[in-house]
Amino acid sequence: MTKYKTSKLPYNAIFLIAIAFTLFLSGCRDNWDSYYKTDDENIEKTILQGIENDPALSKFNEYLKISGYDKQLASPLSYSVWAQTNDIISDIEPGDTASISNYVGYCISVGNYNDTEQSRIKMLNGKYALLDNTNNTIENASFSGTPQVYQNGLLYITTEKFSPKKNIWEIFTEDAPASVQKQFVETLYGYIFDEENSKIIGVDQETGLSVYDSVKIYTNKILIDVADLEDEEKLYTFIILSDDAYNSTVAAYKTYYKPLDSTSVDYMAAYNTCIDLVIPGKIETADLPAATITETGIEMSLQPDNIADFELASNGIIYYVNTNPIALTSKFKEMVVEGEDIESAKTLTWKIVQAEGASGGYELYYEAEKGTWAQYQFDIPYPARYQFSISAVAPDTLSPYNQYIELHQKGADDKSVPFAAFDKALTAADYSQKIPMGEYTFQEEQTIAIRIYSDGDVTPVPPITLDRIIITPTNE
Amino acid sequence: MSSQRSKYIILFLIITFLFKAGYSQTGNKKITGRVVDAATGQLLDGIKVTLPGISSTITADSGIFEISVPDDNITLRFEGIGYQSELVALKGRSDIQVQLNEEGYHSVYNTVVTPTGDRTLISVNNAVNGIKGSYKETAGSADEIMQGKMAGVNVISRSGDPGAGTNIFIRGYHSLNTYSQPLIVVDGVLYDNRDYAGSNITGNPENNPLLLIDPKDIESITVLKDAVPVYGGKAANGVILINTIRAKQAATRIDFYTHHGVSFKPVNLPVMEADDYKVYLTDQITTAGISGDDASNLDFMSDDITSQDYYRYHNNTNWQDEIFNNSTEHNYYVRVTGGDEKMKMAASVGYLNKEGIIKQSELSRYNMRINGDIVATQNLDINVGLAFTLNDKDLKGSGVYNQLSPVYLALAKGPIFAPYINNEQGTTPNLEDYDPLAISNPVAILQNMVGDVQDKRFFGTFGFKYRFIPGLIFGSTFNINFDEKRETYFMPDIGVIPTLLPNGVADNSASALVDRYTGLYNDTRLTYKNKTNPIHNYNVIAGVRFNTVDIESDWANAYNTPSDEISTLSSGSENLRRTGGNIGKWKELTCYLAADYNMLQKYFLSVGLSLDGSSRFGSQAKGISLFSHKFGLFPSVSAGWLISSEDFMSNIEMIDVLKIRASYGATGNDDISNRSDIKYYSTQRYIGVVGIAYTDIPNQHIQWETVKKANFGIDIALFNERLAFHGDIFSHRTENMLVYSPASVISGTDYFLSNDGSMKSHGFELGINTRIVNRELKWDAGLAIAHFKNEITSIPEEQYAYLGNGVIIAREGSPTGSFYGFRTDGVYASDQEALESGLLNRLPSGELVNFRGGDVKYVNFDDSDNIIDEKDRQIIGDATPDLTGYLNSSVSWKGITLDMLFSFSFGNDVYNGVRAQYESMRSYDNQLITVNNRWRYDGQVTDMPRAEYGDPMQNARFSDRWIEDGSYLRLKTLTLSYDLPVKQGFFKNAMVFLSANNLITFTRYLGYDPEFSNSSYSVYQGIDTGLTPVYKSVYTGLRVGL
Repeated sequence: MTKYKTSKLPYNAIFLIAIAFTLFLSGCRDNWDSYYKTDDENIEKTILQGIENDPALSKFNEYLKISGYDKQLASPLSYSVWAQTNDIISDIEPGDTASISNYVGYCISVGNYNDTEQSRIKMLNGKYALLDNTNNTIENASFSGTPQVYQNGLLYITTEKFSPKKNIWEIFTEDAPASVQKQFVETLYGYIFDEENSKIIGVDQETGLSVYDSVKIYTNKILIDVADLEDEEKLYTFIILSDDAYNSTVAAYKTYYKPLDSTSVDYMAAYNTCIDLVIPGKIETADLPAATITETGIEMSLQPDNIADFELASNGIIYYVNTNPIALTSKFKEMVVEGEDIESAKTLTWKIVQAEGASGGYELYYEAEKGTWAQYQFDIPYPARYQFSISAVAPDTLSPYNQYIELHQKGADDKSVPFAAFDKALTAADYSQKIPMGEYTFQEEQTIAIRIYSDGDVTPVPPITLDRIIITPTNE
Repeated sequence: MSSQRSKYIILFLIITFLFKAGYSQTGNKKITGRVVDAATGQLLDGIKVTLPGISSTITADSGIFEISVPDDNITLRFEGIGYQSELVALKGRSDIQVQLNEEGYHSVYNTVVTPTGDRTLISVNNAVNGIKGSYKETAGSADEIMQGKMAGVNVISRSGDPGAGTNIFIRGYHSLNTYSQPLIVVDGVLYDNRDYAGSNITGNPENNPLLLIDPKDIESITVLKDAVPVYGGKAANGVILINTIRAKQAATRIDFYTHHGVSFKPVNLPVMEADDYKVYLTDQITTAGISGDDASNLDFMSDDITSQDYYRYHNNTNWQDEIFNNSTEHNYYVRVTGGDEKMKMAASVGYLNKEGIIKQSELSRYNMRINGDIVATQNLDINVGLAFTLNDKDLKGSGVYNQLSPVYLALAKGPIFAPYINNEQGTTPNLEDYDPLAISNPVAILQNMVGDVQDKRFFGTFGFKYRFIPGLIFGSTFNINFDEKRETYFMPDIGVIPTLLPNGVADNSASALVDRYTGLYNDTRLTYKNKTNPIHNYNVIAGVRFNTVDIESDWANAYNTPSDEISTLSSGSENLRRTGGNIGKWKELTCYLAADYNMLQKYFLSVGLSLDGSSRFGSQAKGISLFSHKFGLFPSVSAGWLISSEDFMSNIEMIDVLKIRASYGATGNDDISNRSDIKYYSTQRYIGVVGIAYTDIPNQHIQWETVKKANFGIDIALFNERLAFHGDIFSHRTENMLVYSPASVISGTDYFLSNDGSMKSHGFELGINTRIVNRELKWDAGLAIAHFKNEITSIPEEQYAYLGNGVIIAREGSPTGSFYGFRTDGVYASDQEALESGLLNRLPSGELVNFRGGDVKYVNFDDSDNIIDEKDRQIIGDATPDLTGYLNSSVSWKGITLDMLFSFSFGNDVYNGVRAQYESMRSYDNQLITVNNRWRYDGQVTDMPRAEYGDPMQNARFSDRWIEDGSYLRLKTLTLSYDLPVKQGFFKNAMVFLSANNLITFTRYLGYDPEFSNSSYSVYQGIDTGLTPVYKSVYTGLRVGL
């Protein structure tokens, strides 16, 4: 059969297309390999491996293994390690495992701390260290600013030694020189109810209060009542008084606790001396303010010239002082009950009115009849003799007139029972004047009611006016 | 008005010229010639040579033929068994040689389906693509078989969930707020492809009604990309015409097909393993306010082996391996065709079982179809079509932006946890509950979650054609379409975090959803076609189309059933039970007119006019008022000139075909809600009291969107079609685009829908097909590329859309799908560097803070201040590809065929929402290994910011950190088939094949897969929310014909 010529194609162009296509395919590559890459081979290793591979850290590595922290540094948590080179830790005794653990644990923390502001970070030994990434220091010891990045954290090399400090309580109880203050504080150890660790096992049917299984812990009353000076997380400034300062303070305090028996007076004076010596926060000497407030709310004026010595602790600073920086007037200061803080009254016709010059700008104004009273509640903070005064001014339309107060306490069936009544006294010309009403000695801490009356013996009965009641402890 | 008149005058002149030209050369001539095989050059006998309606002959043994024709400018048709039909213009010649290629050859003489009837590609003036059904296809649905085969038709897989389907964008985007999918017409009937009910299953994008058509039932698919007649008011996004099987011959034929395959789980994303995760977790916990010391003592962090939970929390679980698996697929299909001269039937049944790569997910499809053609009388033909399909899917959810999705959990859940409770004796069979970090157990969800979706569709068609006189046909098609979707959902208690409800906490939850769609359809048309004039060919169609649809959705949710074993709605807590539903109804009426004309098969002209009305249009909409409703008018015109059939081309033998064509017309998009023009109320609950409240702001002017499409194309075929080029350039302009306009402050709402926007797009498509080797071994190759760009030309106010923490902006001058976020320039190495930048960061609370070392450097574009805030956002990416297309190759030799199809997309940006989620470092979720490079110390130079719980500095905000190049080149299919040499007897034919899908993908994209599509709306493209990825698969199959 005849064959005819059929059509042909331009093959060169086809081959060019094929070559271009082949080149395109050969240009492809694995996306993730090119997207995720790191030049730092350490990223595949643990910090422990990094330490093991660094000859300058052989001593640190040795201590790691002694302490057992090496296992943690091989585990997958995020750690920050400030390892110290051989030359600066050669003085650590290799046989003291506890010290080594404490030391090594103080060089390691869980977490990544990249904040440039100063921060206190918790180390594995439970203590905190001051980290300053701006100046590349930890506890004021310099470290390499650029850490080595490992799979499980960052490794900094410190070029200066730093080691864990004792906390305030450890220093006070273990290292501080013997003192009368320390001697007294040591008497405050005992078994104390630990609410945090106690479980509620029922409810008191009478009081409605929870009943606990009453776990008790052996601790010091100061740590419970004032501040936990063993707490590594918080910072405190603690004051240790010289014996002279302590003794003179106790002596002065005793004059306020006269109503008590001598043993109690001694205890109260000593205890009250000791509880006011803790300031929240760590205040360096250079930063001491003119006045500061203690954990117990007492104003204190600690000045550098009063400081005989100081000691840095892991959770603050301890000052040794020659004179108690707390003035008696700060400790035993007058207490005020404002007239507008009325608790109850005979009738509901009393008013709180604006009064120029009055404390807070307001006072009680109560249209009275014979026997009308207004009552205020007050907690006597500690046994002492207290002077009761008032600030009261007669209305412009009236001449000065008499008012008086009674002290009440709860009696049977919760009824208010008077236990002290003071003489009448005239209202004052202005609110700055304190009008003495009388004194009373309290044998114990208690809650009292103070009732104020106007003079019911005159007609018309004048109103009750009251800016404030001032209660002042007195040692006279 | 004057310009419209000018158009008519020009049209009239052209037609007059063409008529004149045609008649001037009439006469009676003898034509001789030879027909040869294009591959072997052998003369072919038995080839039919015809001048339709006038004369015909058959080639003799010598391949020689002689035929009388009235004019030597006419076009002859050559067709023979096993050969491609070919049209050959005489061009004044009296002796011709014709080379015929084998049947199935990629040719301009192939037939495509058009709205006005079957036409050869060469006679179509529009931009169309056509494909034929094939037994080599392993695609599961009608849309999947179009993937990567037509230039300008971007068919994107939604996800890798079984039966998830695709989103199809023809020539890009034409709308912002309406459904952007093409109109689908199956056997001449509108085929609603929308999902009206939604789903309770997380990340289950949309139902896919095209899954209800077995691809083996498809005879042909034609895609119309430019303005077309008949469907004008619904053709804004293009039209896909699908024709299903019909019996061609009376002889009985039985075809059996089966394929079996394996789908492969994806390559895991590199998330951190246990060691890295615990280090990361330490950083996160310590930045959440817990000290490192306390963190190390947490049960799941402690290394104390004596702890009772040690074994539960000291694992290295690869959660991706726990949720993904290789899966299998099985497909069986039987088709019977045949009949007699009076009646021909084609019937098929099919079964598909496709397991998902997410464990416990699965699709089963049962389908049957009967299509019959009956010659009732000499002038009356009747056709019927019945199709019923049941899809039964078991889905487990997808995506990384929902806390109950297995994909999210597989990436987020810490590897230190385990799926089953472990103790020192080993692993127990008891599932772990959700972990201490409040992340659910994905294995518990896979095992005990119920996500059953059943979709049933009955598609019944009856039609007839009556010939009054030769060429004049009256026909009508009726269709009823009933679709019911039922979804049963249960999320168990064990292993799953409780869900917070407005009035309680749900430990487990159950729900049921039923969605019914009922459509009634009629298309009635009168057609006239001349069959006797060899010079002038024309047909005219006038028709009316009516469509009415009712939808109803009902749902009920229940919570806290007594146990995970009891999942019925009635067993849920009565206080928490909730029910709801939705009904909808709309009607459409279309009157259309279409006319095709050609002279001497050289000059082509088509005109169309469509008048579309819908109950959805507002009563005050612009348009024509008829029957108290508004109608839109959609004209179209197209023309073509087959230059290669002109006499002056007779001496240029290398050029077989040279045709230029152009089209212009208006199309519409009527996807507006059913009640946009009326005010309505809905029940609302407020502080325990139920009342009613306004639900919308009615807009009586609301109407269709109009897309005006202009297209110019050229078709060239050389060397007896061994090299063919097809080129199109197009310009589309959307008018009356639906946008959200700002509402009056007294309305109680911020925006309402109005037709106040516009958009334009333009682009080109280029296709090359070649037969490189044409001997016993045949090698065909093709390349097609498409490009388009669009731009919003008018919008009342900037419009934002949000998906997966990504922001998409629509504003004047920008393209659709523009990512709007912050530009970055690395990470501050130190506090000092951040301070020196002088920039402040405005937090969501409004507070201004300094940047620090480890924070992302955002670029301050708003130089009126030194504050990084929303005013500094820019367009940071564009999801629209610069180029899409495909590359194919087919080599065949002695019945062995190797087919390769590459598809590609270049220049499209992708918002990698998966990476944004797993590099955000803002929670306890596991992260990608890249976060190992995170900033950890002051002075560290890195591109990964610091890990900080809650991301207070917003380092993970939507920025160019997450924008990636989504370009890819994919070996979409690779098929090796062998047509077994069967002796004609009981077996007519047999073929076996081995096929692979998505075998190789070249991409720089870092997600699971660069191909995904969250939504059928244009604005949400290019956002990777971590849906189940598209996977590789291999199949082996067999087809036997009896």
